[in-house]
Amino acid sequence: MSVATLQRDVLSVNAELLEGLMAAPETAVSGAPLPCPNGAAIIILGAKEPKEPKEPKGR
Amino acid sequence: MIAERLRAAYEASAADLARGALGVLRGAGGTAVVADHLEAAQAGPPMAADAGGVDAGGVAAAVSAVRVLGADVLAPYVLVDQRLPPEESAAVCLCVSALPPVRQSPAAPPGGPEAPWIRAWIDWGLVTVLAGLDPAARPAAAVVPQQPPRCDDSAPRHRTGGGSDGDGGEGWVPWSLRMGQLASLALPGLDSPVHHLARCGVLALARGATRAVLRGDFATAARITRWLAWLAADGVPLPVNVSLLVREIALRGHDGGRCTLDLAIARRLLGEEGP
Repeated sequence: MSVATLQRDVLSVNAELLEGLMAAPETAVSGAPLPCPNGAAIIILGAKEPKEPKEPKGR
Repeated sequence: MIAERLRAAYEASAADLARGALGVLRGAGGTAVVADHLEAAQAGPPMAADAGGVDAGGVAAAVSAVRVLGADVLAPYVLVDQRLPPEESAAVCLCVSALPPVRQSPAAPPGGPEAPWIRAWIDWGLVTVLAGLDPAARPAAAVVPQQPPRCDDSAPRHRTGGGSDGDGGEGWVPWSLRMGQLASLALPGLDSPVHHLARCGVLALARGATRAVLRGDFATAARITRWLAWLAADGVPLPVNVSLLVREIALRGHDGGRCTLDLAIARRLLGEEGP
């Protein structure tokens, strides 16, 4: 039985590597250009956090 | 260079194992995916030696794959109520004994490093699910690790840290990402402080899954969505349509491996059949 055979082998599991895979961070946002028409980059000023909606003025 | 090759080998093995588990879940594969995975690794060519000069071999990568996937390798048996074959139980026990779970819980972040603590939780999930499926199995014991920081929906979204002692919670971005890393715990039959915090963090999980989809990080989106599906199965009202979310992620992020496995498990949790 292969499992019994494996028990006799030396299994060297890299703990640090294992933990690194388990705690893998989120994927970085792609740097690929957006499918925009030419010149659109001039208009797009860069990603910004959306602003909080303003409180409506009292009437 | 060698470390990079080893990492690539471990990742490839985990992806391969995820495909095998997916096959069992769909009823298209064998019934002893872990045992078959170890056998195939043993029969394959050796890998590069690690930094210590020890021949890691494909077997080490295969064992690591089981540990990385955690309870997900047993998810098909939990979700379709299939009997766990004895050779499968023995194979999982072997993988646990190759690097026994920690005997003392590492400190939860931000009090300690994140990686060992996440490993402790994933190991706990694997050992607990195995004990549920095969009470006769005797894997190495896994302690219940320290609970994660709680999430504060009103905190700045990127705030890290926070304390379980009432010092203010964590922002939903890091909190939901961490829950995604613990997605293998989102299975029926498991309950822990992590699950309790998931019930308290519905909005944060919905935000986290949506953010991941908008960023094109479908692997993370699938993992966070696992929790949403688990909550739906638990009867918790959700602010998003999880079925639609699963469908969207599947359409754009299908990889045939771990992401697809997460989505298949989510569908099962939602009571939806099919891939």
